[in-house]
Amino acid sequence: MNSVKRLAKIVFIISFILCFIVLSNIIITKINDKKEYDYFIERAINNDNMTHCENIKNLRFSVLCYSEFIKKGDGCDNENSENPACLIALAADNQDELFCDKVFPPENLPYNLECRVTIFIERYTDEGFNNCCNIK
Amino acid sequence: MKTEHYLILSLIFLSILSGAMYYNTVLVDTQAYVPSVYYLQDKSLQDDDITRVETSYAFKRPVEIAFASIIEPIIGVRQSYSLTNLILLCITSVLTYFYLRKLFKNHEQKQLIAYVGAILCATALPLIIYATRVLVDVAGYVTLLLGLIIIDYFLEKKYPLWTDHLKISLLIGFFLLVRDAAVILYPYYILKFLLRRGFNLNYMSKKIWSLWPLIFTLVPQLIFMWWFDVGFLLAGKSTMITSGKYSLLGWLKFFIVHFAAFHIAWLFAILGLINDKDKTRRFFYSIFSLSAVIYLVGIQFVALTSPRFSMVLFPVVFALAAYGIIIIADKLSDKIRIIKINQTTIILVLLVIYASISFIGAWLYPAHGLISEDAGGDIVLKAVFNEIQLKIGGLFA
Repeated sequence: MNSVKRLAKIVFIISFILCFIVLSNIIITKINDKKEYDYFIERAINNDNMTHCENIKNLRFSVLCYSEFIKKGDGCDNENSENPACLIALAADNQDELFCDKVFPPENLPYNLECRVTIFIERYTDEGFNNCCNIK
Repeated sequence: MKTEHYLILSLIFLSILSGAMYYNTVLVDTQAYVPSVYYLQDKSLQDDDITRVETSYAFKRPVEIAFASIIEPIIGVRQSYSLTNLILLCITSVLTYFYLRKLFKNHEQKQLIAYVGAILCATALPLIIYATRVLVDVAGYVTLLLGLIIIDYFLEKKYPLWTDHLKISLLIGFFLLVRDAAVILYPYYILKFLLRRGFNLNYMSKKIWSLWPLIFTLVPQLIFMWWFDVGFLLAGKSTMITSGKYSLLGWLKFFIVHFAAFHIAWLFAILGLINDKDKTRRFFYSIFSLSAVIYLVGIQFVALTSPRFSMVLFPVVFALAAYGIIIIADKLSDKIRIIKINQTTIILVLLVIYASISFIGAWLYPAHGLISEDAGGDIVLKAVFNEIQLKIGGLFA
């Protein structure tokens, strides 16, 4: 076997295994996130207490959970006043990107941008928060 | 499976791995790319969003935006950019392999050099950080490679016709609507054409006039400006030339950013440059590097210097670095034959070190604060150290 084929075969096997691990991890995380979301949103709605949304680790699902309450007219008060997910849900509902600058200062850049981009998407589509908040 | 199948599939898997880290994330420009899609879909936009689109620099690169606007109804706006970019990233890696194989066509190890170069590209730090975000940077690199392949094809003719020059002009003009990095194809094309017979002033002065069809390169841009009633590509850029960018600290930032983009690949590339004596390739390295450096210095003045602009150096740095890696592997395998370490193992070790630095570098990329355009190298270093503290500290918290 020549050196190119040997190298290509090794790189192929390593990259395939790594790809498999990474993609499996992404899928498993997504399934677990969805389960976690279903569990906490049910508790939040049953108890009429949006603070349960705070327990959802995935920001996208947390925003989705808070938005259920924000749509009903609740605000990000008390325990939720500094929660990024609640603030993004509120900004998206208000359609006010300047609000994002107020609640997420420059040192909080990823949240600030996610908040603004989410507002633009919410403004013109009914995508919901499907692609919101891939914050690293 | 055949060797080529292993090569291409491994490059695709590596590209997916690279693209996974920052897939679907946003940067400042995303704020213009997202509403631009709705604008092209003819949705009724608010006045401030129309202004945001029409005055943004992002909208001056409408090709990928137009493509995203077609698939947006199916997969959503963010995924339409990110997924397109992921596919383009895979194409980039494979195209780099074919381009480098052609560049080293006279070398006995052309396939190996091209493959190593393509792996360096697939796991490059700038691509990991920027390629699959909601941006259009990777599309720019694809046009750069396509431009190089097409220019080389036309200039291989003994007597290129005026229609050939016209085709290239229109093509580069169209590529400028994808991403402005294609601008470096002009100096590359002109230099390659005029220096076909070496530095012959008589030949150059005669031939320079045959490049007149280059003026038609503005046609795609003019059609776009007329159709959408927007300003020229560089409109408003003069106000962005500020003193901070050409201060000593500004240049320090320039060197830090472009050094970090390739990290140890620079060392391999220097070794490759010393050892590669092929005249045709040395000519390519010279004129392409000159074109790229002119672009990078220009960018330093009018925009935020960032590793994403280092992509224009890929064809040269990765060709030389791949050559350098092969030289190291050949020399080391000769010296340490006693313990039976062969060339493949050494290449693999060097590639793993390179890829690991790229992935760790991408993970430590300072993403938690806005670095102003005028910021110097000290600010960039501070932001990197803050990020290291935050991430490494987070691991042990």
